[in-house]
Amino acid sequence: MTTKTYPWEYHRDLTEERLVTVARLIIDGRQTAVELQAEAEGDNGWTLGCRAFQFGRHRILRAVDGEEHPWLGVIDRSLQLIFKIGEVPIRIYRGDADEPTDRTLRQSHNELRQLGFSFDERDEGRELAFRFAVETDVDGSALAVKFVGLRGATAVLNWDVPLDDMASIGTVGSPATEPVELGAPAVGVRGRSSKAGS
Amino acid sequence: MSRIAFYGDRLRMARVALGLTLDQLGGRVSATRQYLNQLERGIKVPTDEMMEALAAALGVAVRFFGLPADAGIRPEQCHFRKQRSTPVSIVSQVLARGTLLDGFVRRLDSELDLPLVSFPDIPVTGTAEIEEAAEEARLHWRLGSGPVSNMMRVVENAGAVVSFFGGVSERVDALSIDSRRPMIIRSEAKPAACRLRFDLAHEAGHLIMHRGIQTGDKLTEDQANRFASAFLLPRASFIHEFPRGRFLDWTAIFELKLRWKVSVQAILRRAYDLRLISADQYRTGYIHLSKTGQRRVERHDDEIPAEQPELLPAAIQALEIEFPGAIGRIAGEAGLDPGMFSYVSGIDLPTGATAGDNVVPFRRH
Repeated sequence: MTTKTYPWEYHRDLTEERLVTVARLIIDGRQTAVELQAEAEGDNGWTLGCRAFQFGRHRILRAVDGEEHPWLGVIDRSLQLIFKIGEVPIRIYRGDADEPTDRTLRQSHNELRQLGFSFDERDEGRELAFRFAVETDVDGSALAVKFVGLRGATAVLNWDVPLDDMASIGTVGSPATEPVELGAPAVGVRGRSSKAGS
Repeated sequence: MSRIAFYGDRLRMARVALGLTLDQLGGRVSATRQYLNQLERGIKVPTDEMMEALAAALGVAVRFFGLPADAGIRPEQCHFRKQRSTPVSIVSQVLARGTLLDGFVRRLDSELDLPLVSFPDIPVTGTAEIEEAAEEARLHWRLGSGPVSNMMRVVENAGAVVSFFGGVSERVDALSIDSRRPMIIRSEAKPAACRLRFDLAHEAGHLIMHRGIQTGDKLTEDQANRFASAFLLPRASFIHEFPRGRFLDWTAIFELKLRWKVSVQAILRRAYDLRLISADQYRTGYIHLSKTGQRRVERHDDEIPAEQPELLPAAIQALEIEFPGAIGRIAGEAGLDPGMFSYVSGIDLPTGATAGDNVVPFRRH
């Protein structure tokens, strides 16, 4: 078995541009849900989770219905949402890419059938469950989106979807300069030359 | 009919600044909300007695209602975290108090030489630009790439007035107003030193990146947080100093905290943003802080000295030394009673300087 690192090595429909596009829809849904969170009114992690998922689902279905991307389709519009990029069926879960829950691992008949269409019989990808894993920060906002291929509970593919311009790339560490000591802000009475402060 | 000028806008501003509803103010002056609404809209004019009652209820002088209205602070000048669930009344209150404080600062500015306002204007879109904006700001203020010794002095030397608003909703923790002289206002009197430094850098980020832009949503708040993080922990220096390894080196991380005066929570987030640690390590670190009771107060917080605003106290002191009673006079000119003055400015009038003492209304003669 060859070692594959990138989604497009598993299936040519899984291009970086498409995966980033879908990840952005998911993130936009989650960040909007975080903005709407009103703990004083009784919101909690559960309502945030429900809303964030539904907002992401809504954005994906809206993009499908509006035919915004010819490569984006849907297999199951129900609340478990199975959509497809090109021919590859995909679902979404929140949590660590490396620690999918039983619910995440569950594959419906529709998903398995689509995988059968998409991959050859001996193709490794046929045995995988493809998922977007949304990893979250303490406040529930999205920290990272991973595109994973799960074989059982193991993420054989775990690709960090590049969502920002990764400001650190290319930056090399260098020693800091000495701290600069600042004087107190200067204040003077208008028309007088003397100034308090530095 | 009163012979004293009365502008309904001014009544509304004082009421909203105090966070009072029409009903609440009506209860204080024995008037209906409909009547007060008509006063605010300029449909009716109050009697002298009603004007005095309103002034007493609002902590202003009667003359306050007759002063020409300052151009109000517009929403896009005022940066603070607004969730979509933040009530409009809180936004209005912040704008009204900001307008009153701005009026006072303008008067101070006309009598004093304060530091020149020097916040660079750097619009941004992506993360890389935010990093560059933070580096450019450091360059602009000649701070090098080392720890910021005093964040309060950075913003005050750049000409911002830092003050304190008590009594605003806890949903608003800090805000900045992009006026001729920018103002940064905290709503908590004494936050932890690291928290205050981060808040100041966050507000500096708004003033630098978001001029004329409506802020308060998650995107612009995240941008200001990223700016604060990049400003306080410049990437090249941070990459050089952050301890890398399979496990988080807590001793070294707390040493970084003491050296850079930035909370461990912010250090972990910076390390994650620069991909020096993984999302898993970041979460593990956060859980560790949580389990050890350090989510609100971290170890060594008490070893980092609190930074105090110096510009406004120094300005008041300089003016009082030169012209005793000057601050009381300025407050009186603005039509503010001492209580209201303290409420909008976050400072108490100097002893012996009572607002309006030296202003005798004509109508008493």
